[in-house]
Amino acid sequence: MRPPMSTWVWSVGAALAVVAAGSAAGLGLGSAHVVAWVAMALVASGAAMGSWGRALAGGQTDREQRQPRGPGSERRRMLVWLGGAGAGVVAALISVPAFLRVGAATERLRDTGWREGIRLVDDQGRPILAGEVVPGSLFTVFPEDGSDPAQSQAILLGAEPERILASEHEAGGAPDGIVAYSKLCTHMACPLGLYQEQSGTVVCPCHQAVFDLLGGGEVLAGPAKRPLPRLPIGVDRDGHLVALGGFSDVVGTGYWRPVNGS
Amino acid sequence: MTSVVQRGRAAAEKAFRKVFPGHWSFLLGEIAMFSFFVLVATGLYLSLFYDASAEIVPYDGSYAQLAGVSVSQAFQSVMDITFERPLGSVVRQTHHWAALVFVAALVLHAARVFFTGAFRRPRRLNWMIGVTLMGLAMVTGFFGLVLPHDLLGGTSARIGHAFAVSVPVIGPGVADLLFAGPFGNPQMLHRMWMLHVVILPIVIGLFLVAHLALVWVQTHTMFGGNGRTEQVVEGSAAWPAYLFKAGGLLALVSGVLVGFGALVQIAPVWIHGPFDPASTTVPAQPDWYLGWVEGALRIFPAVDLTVMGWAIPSPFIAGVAFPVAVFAVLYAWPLAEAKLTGDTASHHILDRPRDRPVRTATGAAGLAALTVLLMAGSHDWQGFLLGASIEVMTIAYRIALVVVPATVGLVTYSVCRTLIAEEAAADSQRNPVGRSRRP
Repeated sequence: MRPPMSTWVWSVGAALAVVAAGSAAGLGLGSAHVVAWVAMALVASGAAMGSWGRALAGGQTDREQRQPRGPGSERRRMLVWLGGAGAGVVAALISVPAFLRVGAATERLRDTGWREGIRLVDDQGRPILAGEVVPGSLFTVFPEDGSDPAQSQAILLGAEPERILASEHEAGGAPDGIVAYSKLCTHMACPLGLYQEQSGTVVCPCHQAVFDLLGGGEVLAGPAKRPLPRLPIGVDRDGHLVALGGFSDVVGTGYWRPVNGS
Repeated sequence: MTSVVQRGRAAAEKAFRKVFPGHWSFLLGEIAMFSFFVLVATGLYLSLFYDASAEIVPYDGSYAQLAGVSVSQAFQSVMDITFERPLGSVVRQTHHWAALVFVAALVLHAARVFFTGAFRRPRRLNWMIGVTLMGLAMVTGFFGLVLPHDLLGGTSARIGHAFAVSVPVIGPGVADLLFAGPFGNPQMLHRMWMLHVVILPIVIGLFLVAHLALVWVQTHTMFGGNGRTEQVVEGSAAWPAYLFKAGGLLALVSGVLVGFGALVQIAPVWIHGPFDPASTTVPAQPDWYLGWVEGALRIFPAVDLTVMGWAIPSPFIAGVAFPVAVFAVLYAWPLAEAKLTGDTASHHILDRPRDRPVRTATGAAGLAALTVLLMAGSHDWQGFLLGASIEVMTIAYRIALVVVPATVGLVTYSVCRTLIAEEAAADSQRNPVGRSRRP
């Protein structure tokens, strides 16, 4: 058996690339150079080895009798049983503890930390005066006690009072021209962004749901369907904005819940 | 004593004579396996330096643009791997590239097995093991995206949390288990870390061993023709030819992955910046193998669903029911096909795709649908480039999701039919007795 010319060419190439990689390392070249040479040496060695494999087979075909296997119903039944049992154990290991904590977990999802009287602060922890929220201003706000910013974050929006849906004022008892909604998209709970002042809309950067901040947080387009939960706000004695309670509904994606009841 | 040695020797000699049929498409599974080896090797190195703590610290590494910025320990440690550790950046990028190639090779390997009917008895169980491996790879990759705790990883975690809470009835409990409480709990990274680095790789390793053991015991399939029969495997013996070729492929795959890791930037956490619970990256896309779910989440219509008195969260259909259905179809296909065609016999000779027009057309249509969804996964960015609004892009992709798979399926079917007819015509010309070219 004589290996073909290409096998020798690959082998010499691989040897050269290995030497080059070694020299690059020895000369103290930058690690990117060395690694690139090592990669090249690996590729060339791989090609050389594969080529040798081909040459060693020498164009001859090896043969092997397949062992005839009976129906093996006994063993198959056992395998199916084992596979099913394994899947069952894994499913139980996840679903039983999950089921046991559904109640507490649901409670934790619903309670974002907003309570009556907690002041709204911006991302620097600074309380916000009602007077600052002029038409066209937008803040991301959190409860002052710093609880759970990932779940409690809200958008605080100032707008001309006549642009805001009248029912919002009645519902929240909010100061004129100020509304606050959960900042989490009701689709996959990504934080909303891309506020457009003219239309008073925000867009979710993840899957492009559009919400109307002037119209009660309703969904205008995209894959979400639940309106943004509203944060009821008021003004304390110093003129700072405070929460009047928790969000009007569970924030973010939500969960499977009975239609009648919580 | 000698008898043990002799028996070992005999077993080894028998193993060396094991025959492996050769065809380029049989290399796809090997490429997947070798990518997994690279993933384990690079992952071990990364695990030496990664710190799964979400505690906030000021960044103090050598990347000047983030100096003093509040970041999590986890993010700090990934920056440290990237900028301070010897070869850290190369190893991290190689790891990420290897993950992309791993899943790509798995998908192509599964497509090869599907279109050639290699999943038929006696390999139905091994097909299911393979489908499981593909799902595990995607899930493991997802947790890997979360670990750097950069803005993209944190957004991925958010979306993962939304998947979990959308699970019927026990959703909040599932999310609570996976994320150690409501989203934002610092313990979250420990759970993801344990899953990504220990539990899931071990499970993948076990399924991989089972997959290979079954290939060994059941012998490999091969294409027919040239007088090949179901009873005899033809190819190269394990030693030396096959092992040389496989070893060569291992070196080749590692070389290409290391080359990409060294030269092509991927997952630049220093550009994404640290996770901030009130921000999202724009545009935000996951790695390619999750893109089909991302696309479904974007273009599936929002419907107000109530099932048996339960109000269902909006991502449920696209994010939970749809992926589960896709995997259910994959698991069930061998059994369903055997039932529908009545062919429950064992097969070791592969089908040529054209000889099974219905299966081939169905598979092609399925892949086309998943590709449309994958592309829809970045439709905001495409709309931006094309100057089209997001609503227009969504409607266009909804139409494409129906039209493209239907067209691909019909064209594939008629191409298969034409090829068969042409072969039959050529055969009857060459051999007027009417003997078919294929059994």
